[in-house]
Amino acid sequence: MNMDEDIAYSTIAALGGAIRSGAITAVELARFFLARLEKYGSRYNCVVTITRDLALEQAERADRELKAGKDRGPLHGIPYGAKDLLSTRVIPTTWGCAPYKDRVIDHDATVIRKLRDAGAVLTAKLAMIELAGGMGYRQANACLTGPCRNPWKPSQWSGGSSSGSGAAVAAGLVPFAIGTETWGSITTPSSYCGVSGLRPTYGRVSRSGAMALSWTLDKIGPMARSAHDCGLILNAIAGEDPDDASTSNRPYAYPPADRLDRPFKFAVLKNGVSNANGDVKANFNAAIEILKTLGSIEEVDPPSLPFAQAASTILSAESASVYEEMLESGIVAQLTAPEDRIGGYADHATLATDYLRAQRIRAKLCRELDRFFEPFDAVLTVPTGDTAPTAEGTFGGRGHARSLGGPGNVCGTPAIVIPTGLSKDGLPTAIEFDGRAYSENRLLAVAIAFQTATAWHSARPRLDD
Amino acid sequence: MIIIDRLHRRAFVRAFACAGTAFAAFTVRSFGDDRKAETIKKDGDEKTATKTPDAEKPASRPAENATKNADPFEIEVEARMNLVLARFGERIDDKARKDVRREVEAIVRRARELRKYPLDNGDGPGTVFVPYRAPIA
Repeated sequence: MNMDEDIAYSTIAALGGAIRSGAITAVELARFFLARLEKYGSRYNCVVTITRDLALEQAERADRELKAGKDRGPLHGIPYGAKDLLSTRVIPTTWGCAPYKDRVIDHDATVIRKLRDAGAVLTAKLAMIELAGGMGYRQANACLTGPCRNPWKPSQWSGGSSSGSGAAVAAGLVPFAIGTETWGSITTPSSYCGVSGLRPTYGRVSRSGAMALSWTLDKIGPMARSAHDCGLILNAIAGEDPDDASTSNRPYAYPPADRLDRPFKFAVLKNGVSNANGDVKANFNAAIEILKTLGSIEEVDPPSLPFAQAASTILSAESASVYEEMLESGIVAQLTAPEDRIGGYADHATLATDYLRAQRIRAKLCRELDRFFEPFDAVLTVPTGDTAPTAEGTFGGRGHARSLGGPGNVCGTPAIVIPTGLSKDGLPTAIEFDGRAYSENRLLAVAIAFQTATAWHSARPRLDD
Repeated sequence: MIIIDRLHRRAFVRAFACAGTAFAAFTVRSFGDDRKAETIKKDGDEKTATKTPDAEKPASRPAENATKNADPFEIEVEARMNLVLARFGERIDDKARKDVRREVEAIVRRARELRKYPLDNGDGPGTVFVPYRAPIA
């Protein structure tokens, strides 16, 4: 295999095949992506730390083991980047904010450990919105490393809070990345950057060693070149963890042993994209036409229940507690975005009774949402009503769409976002598939079927040299 | 040292004053804005009176009357805003107060929406407490 752009945009399966056939070594692959991270990382403000020494050490181990006949699976020798809220021994973990720019949490997050055990090679800690957006940022420049720029159009934002994870995968700086989501932080950057992003069911992936924003809302998931890659990554990071009591003991395996032997059953929200940006709407409708060839589509109304109010109240109360010491100490005054320096104070006006009421309502909402999802393999929406906003200044008024972001996050259900094309000005658009708790493999099957019928996930931005 | 002492004293006085306001307003706020609440509001006032001897003094009456006539939403926002200021007021300048207040208003609005959702006694929270026992070594 030649060291050219094709490698930068290859899937995990293709890169793994090249390593196993001897066409390339894990060390050569690591050096190739390290060079791209060094060349383009600062252009898009998507990298916090390049982990060169660790990457080469892990890649050498991968080559040595393969030579000795030990194959750790699909991620063996594959480089990746991690959102910089996942703790890593020796290497700084900044949470995207200036006060912690040199802080080392000398402990590997469970996800980092699991990926190392799966043979993956950590090449970079990636940029993120400071404190994962917990202070209510209203601009792209709410980040230690500056506004994260979209590889498709650098004047635009990459999305957040997993900003660097989206941009680095889109620019071919890493084959895959790990992002996190409390409410939209995987789905939004995946949509804006034209990559495939999977938000797993709450509790599917351990958060031990990850910065907490909201203990009962935070999830960790993969962002990659294809839905199939997302499945391979989730397979490596999912599972019960004694260090995170919220993790589920439900087994997860990808690829799944059984296949669906009937056409898919989809639902689409009534007037879901009526107020969306024209290109988002047009590309969503085109995607629906393709999905009609894969199954039936029914138009539905989601239950009219206080999903967003419950989610916001829970987020307010939990983040007030999470960031209490930062507010007390005044550290927040050092954050980059002015609105983030004061954004946490109001959360302390949330009462314990508000929080508990929201949690009691949540238990009922989860049942209602499961009843709503149950007849379908996936409910189809757009993750964002518009394409990526500007990377400069405050976010303005934009297109809106009916979303399942509030219901999905407060009820901890999974979703996958995949690209549906480009807008007239060259920015990615996307579709989101939502489903019942623990239905990741069903959602992946839908996304893979769509990606088999289309090539949008293979589109590449032109990085001007 | 003198400056620090003065700051501390001022912070204490402000916190005390704000907390007092918050408590008074909560007593009214907690019982809502409908006719049924009007009856309970009187109970609330009585409770306040028994717990706080100063509430009997004529000087406190105008404030109580003012809160009785005010918009319950505004009273609740004011009370919660005062809780925030009691704790973090020194770090929030006048310009920031407007933003913080807007956020507090959103929090109160959401809380009031959630209060409309019917719950039964047995509807427990969506989180489950699990007692811990260390595994056998």
